[in-house]
Amino acid sequence: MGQIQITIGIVMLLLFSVALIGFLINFSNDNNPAVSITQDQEIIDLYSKQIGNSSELKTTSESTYESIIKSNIEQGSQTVPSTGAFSPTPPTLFNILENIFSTINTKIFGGKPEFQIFTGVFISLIIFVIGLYLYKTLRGFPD
Amino acid sequence: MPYIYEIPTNVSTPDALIGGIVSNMPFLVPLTLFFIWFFIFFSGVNRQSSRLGQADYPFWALMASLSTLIVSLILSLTSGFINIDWLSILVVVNLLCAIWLFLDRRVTEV
Repeated sequence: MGQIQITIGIVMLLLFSVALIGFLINFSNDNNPAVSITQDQEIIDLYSKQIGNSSELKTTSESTYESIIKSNIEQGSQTVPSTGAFSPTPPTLFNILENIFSTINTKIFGGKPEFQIFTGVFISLIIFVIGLYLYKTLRGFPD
Repeated sequence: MPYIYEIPTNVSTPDALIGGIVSNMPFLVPLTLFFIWFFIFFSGVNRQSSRLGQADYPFWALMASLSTLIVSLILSLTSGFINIDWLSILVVVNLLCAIWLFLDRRVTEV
């Protein structure tokens, strides 16, 4: 899993979650069902958080793209000189995963601390993989 | 002419008949949703693996979750069939399968 690939995966997850919950909200607005997703406050909180993350991602990616096209690579250099190209990935995109995992933890595991090991281990694995690829890109170390 | 058996009292509409069954056995709807999820998942995985030799498990998990969510939306139109907890759990299962799908694509390095 490459660095671009995992970034695209998390962004697609953001779009999917916003589209899915938005579809459910509009379904309940149109059809006036007896049971509506808007009655669940945690799902609505997740929806608003994801929309906030997407707007934050937009501004971050714009500034990062500006820094990429204004940077230059020295002649004969083999590695990336700075970590600027990775700056959109950690803070904004990990909020997306964190929001989804906190909702999963509340809804499926009931928010019990005994079950938090599952989501904790999975988030740690993703952080570890991204750290490995940061190291690989900067140092050129083969996997 | 008298009936030879006792007519159930809650059959004014078909919805009321199913609602009466659900009120007596509340786990009927979640069991039906479980059945739909596993039916779509295993049938899709089975056919794809028999045709291609390998199956796309995350894709079929997400397809089964979306189909189950659509069925649960239809059930949510009438009161008494499904409660908000199961609807929220279905949304969460959709997000979980989406995490599995979007992070589990081909191993080619991009």
